[in-house]
Amino acid sequence: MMNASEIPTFAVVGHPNEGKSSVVATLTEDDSLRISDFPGETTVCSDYSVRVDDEILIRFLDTPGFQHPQKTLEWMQQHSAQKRHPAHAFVEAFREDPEHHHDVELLIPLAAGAGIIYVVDGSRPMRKNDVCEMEILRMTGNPRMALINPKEGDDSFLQTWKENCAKSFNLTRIFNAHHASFVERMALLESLKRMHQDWEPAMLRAVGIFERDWKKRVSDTAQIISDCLVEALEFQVEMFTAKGEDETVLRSKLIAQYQLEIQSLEKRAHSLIRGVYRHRKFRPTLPEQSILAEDLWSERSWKMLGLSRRQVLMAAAVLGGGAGLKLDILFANLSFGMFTLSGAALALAGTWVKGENMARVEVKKLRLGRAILTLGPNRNPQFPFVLIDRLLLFYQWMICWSHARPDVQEQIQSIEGENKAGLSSSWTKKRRELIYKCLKQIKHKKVEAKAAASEKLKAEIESILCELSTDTTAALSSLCKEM
Amino acid sequence: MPPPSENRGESAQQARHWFQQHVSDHSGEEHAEFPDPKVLKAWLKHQKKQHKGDTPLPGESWQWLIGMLFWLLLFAGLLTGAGVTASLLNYDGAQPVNVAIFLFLLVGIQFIWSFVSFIVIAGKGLQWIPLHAGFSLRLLQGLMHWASTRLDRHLISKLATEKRMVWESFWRHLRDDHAASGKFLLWPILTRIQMAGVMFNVGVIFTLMTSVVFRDLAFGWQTSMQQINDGTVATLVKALSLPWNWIWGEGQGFPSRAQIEGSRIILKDGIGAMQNPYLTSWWPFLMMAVTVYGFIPRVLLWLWLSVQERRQVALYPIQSPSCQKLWSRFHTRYLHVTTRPFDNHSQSKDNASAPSLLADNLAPTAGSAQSTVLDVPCWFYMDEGLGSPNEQSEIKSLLSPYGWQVKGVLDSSPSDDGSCFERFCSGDCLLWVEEAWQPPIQEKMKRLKASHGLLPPGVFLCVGLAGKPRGVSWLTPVRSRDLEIWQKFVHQNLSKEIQVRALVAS
Ligand SMILES: Nc1nc2c(ncn2[C@@H]2O[C@H](COP(=O)(O)OP(=O)(O)OP(=O)(O)O)[C@@H](O)[C@H]2O)c(=O)[nH]1
Ligand SMILES: [Mg+2]
Repeated sequence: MMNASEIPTFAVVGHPNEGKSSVVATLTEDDSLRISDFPGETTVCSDYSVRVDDEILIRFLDTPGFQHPQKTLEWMQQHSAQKRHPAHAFVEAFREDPEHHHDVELLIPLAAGAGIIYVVDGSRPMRKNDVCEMEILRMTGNPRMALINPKEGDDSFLQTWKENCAKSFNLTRIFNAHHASFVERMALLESLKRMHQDWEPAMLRAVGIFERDWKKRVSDTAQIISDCLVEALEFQVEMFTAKGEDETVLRSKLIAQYQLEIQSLEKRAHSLIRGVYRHRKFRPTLPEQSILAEDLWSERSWKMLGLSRRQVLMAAAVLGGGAGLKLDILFANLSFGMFTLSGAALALAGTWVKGENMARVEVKKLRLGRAILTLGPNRNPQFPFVLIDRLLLFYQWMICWSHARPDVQEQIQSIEGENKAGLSSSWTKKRRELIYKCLKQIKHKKVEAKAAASEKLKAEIESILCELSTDTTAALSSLCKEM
Repeated sequence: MPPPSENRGESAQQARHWFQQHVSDHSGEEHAEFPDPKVLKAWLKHQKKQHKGDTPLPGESWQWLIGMLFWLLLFAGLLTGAGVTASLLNYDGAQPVNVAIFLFLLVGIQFIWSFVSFIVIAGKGLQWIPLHAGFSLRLLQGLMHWASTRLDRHLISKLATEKRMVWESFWRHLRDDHAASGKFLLWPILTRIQMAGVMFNVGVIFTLMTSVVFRDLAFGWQTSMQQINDGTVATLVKALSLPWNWIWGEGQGFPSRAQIEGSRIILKDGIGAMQNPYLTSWWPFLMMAVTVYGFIPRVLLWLWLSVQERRQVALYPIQSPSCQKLWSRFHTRYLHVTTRPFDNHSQSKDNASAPSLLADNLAPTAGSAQSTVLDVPCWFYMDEGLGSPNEQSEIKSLLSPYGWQVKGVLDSSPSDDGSCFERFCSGDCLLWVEEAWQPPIQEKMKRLKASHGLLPPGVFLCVGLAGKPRGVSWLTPVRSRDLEIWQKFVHQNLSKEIQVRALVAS
């Protein structure tokens, strides 16, 4: 065990195509690994270290799969009389042989004393080759753990796998590379510390750092979301009319402009959140029917997200305001779907503008027959909730979307009917009111009051995000909700 | 003559079909030991008719490479010719173009090169000189090696394994073709190198012509030696222009003594002292020199090599492995397997304990039943390391509903030695069963290759794939992606002669 005492090093090994690279990608949150359903994608052993400020915490080594399990085992058994590490002896003997390139690459880290994470697909039967591989790993004497990664749902072979792995490995865990949540990942890292005593302090430290890092990410995301909300709520567009220009044409231009700008605000928040969760390479593809795939200004978004009519009323009532809130007009308009950018919707946008409590186009006459038109800030009480819902959905998507796979297409559930698909409608009354209040105060003129409100908003959003992040399965299902 | 397409999946079927239709009726079915050149030629003609424009070369890889090389050399030749000439003819009114340098670079070197090429090629033809000697060929080999290692390092190694395998298989075939019939592949390359030489001259002549027509050029000569005067130069010029001076005389085809004297550059006097007619008098001579000493020898060499190439190809030994392979294709029955879909009912008794496992997407699609199963007798082999080997007697009855006619079951591994093949007859098939969901690792591929090599002539190898076991049955449908992966591995790494099929159609 040459470097066992230094940085904990784990070689992820196994049969080709079992998901070794996927496991490494998930554990290190690195989406640059090459993953493919074609066996033999990984051809060299490569180092994927987890670092904190240039200090390596843990080292994961992605390796190619066993190409000659039976022959390798035979060779090792024949040469077992030697005192040397069997992996080392094999590497020495076959280093120059191009035919054994994969096996050599895979055994090099083992010869150097790395801990073994043996990945098997638990949804397939066990075969002679697997027995050979386990025996090879047992012969190395390195600390080792079996990681059962059931690629498909089939669990009829799981029991056999567990029993057999228990014979050759110090530990056995089930870990799904595609669906592992943060909590599950941490649990796995925790258990890695049991593989080797010398590594325990380092692993404990790493887990601590990971958890702190996760908290920081949640807090960063909360900041991004609340910033986006504040900015969107205060947003305003202006346009000048030229002399003799038709005001109605300009109005629809103004509305289109407003909608576009809000959308780009949202997009910016998305890319920031994506960066926080280190999804660099893959362009996310949403489940086809997901509500998040809809346009922010589409009728469906507004139907499915945000609060229900009653909830808005209640939230507003608490503030004793109700003042000027003509909700009937408000919701009558909403159900017209005037938020879409389509031609028909633009025509309807006039009604929206007329609605009392919406963002209103204000016309200020200037001299020489010119006028200045302004739109915003948006005072529609539903607007921030729709936006929050969309950002939270995006957050959920980012945290449950594994670094090991290009999409989450597999499990789309369909939900019928008029139910709200967003989270805000299922918040507790207290939370809804709190957020409503914060949003109200943000529009306050006083700077201090404003700052305090946005601080409060951020804190509340952070606690929402925390709750969401512990349960990625729920996150996934709500992400895939559709009409 | 080599078969034109060595590796096409359907080529075996085509060859057999053609042979049955056109030949076998009058020459009988008996397997003649040596290929009949007449039949092979007829087959080649037929193939050529089918794929118009094919050159008589073995292997698609070579064909592709030669094609690429041809265009590459063509353009390279043309461009260098034009480029070199254009830079030599650079004249801005201050310094006339130096005739000696022009002659030396574009005529002298070329002529020497042509001459050496001639000697080398003649030597090769008469077998004084080893075939692979020769400067151009060395250069080309070096270039190819350089390009392929560069390509490998910067491009191929970064490709996904699936794509990389296609390339690797391409290079392997290239090497195999070369090893099998390198001698005959050399001539086409030599011919194309000469073609590049011809194009170089075309580039030179074209650039010279256009420059003369559209630009104001001036040619002159200079020396510091007292011994050389315009008389010496005139003699030299006259000697060089011997081949054409009977059509184009003095003052036209080559400069006269007066013109030579008038175009001598004396730097301290400057160009102003020289007269224009003298300065331009050189171009017909240069043009003719390039044509006669550069262009024509290259064209002759090229023509001669083309004739050589034709002769060599005609001499292609019919005992070569590829001809033998083609010959045996003609004479063996083509194994044509189309499998039948998974039969739910015959399995139901096995799966009584786990009916739910079978329910999902396994139901046979009634319409897709492919019924044309050619009853080729199969020898069943399944490695003991794989899923439950049923009772041997059971295998026959299990497989027959899917159209497999099992003649016997091998119990020892066929890759150890050929002894278990003694019972095989020509036209039989070795049905080698693998589990499709297992990746085709090298160890498996090697065993398959070894067995394939040991098979007696006329026996086919077919890899039959089984799906994931469900309940107690291992005879389940295969995922189409798994089938595709196995086909790619077997066809690209081993041979396209080996068929890869699902035991049970999905
Ligand atoms: N459904 C599902 N598929 C998985 C899971 N883990 C891996 N896969 C898929 O399995 C295939 C192989 O994954 P890789 O991570 O490339 O496997 P590998 O062991 O590194 O393969 P090689 O490098 O070829 O030896 C990919 O198509 C993955 O998407 C999983 O948990 N669930
Ligand atoms: Mg891999």
